[in-house]
Amino acid sequence: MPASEAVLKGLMLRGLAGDGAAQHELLSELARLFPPFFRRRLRDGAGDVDDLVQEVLIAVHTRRATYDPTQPFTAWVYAIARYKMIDHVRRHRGRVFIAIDDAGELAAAETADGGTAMSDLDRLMRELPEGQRAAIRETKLEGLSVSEASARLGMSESAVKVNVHRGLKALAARLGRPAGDPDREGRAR
Amino acid sequence: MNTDDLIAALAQDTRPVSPHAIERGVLAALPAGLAVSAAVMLAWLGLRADFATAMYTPEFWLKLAYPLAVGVGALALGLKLVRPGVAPGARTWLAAAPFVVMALLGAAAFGAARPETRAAVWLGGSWDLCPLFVLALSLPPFIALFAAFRRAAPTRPAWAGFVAGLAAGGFGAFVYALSCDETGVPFLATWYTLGMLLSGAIGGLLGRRLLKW
Repeated sequence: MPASEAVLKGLMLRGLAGDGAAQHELLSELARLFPPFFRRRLRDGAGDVDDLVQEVLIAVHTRRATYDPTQPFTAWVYAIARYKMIDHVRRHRGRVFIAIDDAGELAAAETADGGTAMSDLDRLMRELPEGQRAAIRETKLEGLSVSEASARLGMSESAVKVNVHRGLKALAARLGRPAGDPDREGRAR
Repeated sequence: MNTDDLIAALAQDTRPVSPHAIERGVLAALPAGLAVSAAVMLAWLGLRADFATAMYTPEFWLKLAYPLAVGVGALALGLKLVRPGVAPGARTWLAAAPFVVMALLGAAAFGAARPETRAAVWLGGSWDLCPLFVLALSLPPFIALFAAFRRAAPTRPAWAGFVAGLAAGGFGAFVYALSCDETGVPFLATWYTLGMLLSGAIGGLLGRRLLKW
């Protein structure tokens, strides 16, 4: 299960203070976090994904002075990952296939607004029951397919679908929007 | 290399890092750049001959304040741009504000001038050289700021390069203002601005290559 913002940030801060063990744990967590992130965005060989993950780890380590502890850690680390991915795609232009529906995400500006949105989402998600939260995290945030999520969570595929559907509906209700969108999403998956 | 080995190798080299290391690096580089720029100005162009009397005119101070505001504003914005995932927020507008204020002051002064003096307050005696002197004196802070930015992590290298170039342009123009004896506000609003923007444009072009990481 992916570590949360609070855990990762705690490790990062200890790493910045010179704690090598915390830094080791942080990099190991990130090495688990990023393969699905890249795999979903680069429909390409796994070799590329491994290279990219290593590039991110090196950047996270060597550029760690650029992390501002008053900002969300995930905003920083995902901005690095996005930067490295765009760079990677440019260098391998023509060789890497990017799904067209992800093109918008690549072009999205990386700002703390993303981080704020992320932490708002975190807060809302915490109010959901664990099953719904896990199902949404795996399918919508981590980008796993329903069957991958079902294997990872030990939930049946239909349970994953139902949990995603109910969870999105609950989130939409809390955001004060009509539940039309998650409905359509729920059926599409 | 295997990812686990890479992680072990990286984690082994975990030295404490100050949360303000980036700011410190940039602010340490700047005085050196400014000092070289000032030395070049003194040796090559010299202080303006009427320095002692000009000091008592508002134009003298405006001519120092405008480029300094550009330099400081762009630098403050640049310090946000070199940190991944940080929104520059209001600093973008703060960096743009001196240009807006100066454009308004320049237009007002131009409008208020008698028609027969307008060419003089706008073109002065050095309109064709001013932007080039500004650009030349921007070079030392330009190098210093680029060196500092290269150690950080701008996720939009061309934009960060433009802002670094603009900051260097501001500091270069500040130094040049101690030498230049033009007094027209429209002159300042046009030709100083052009010199600083040239430095910014070069920064943008070079940033694309030099500020990649």
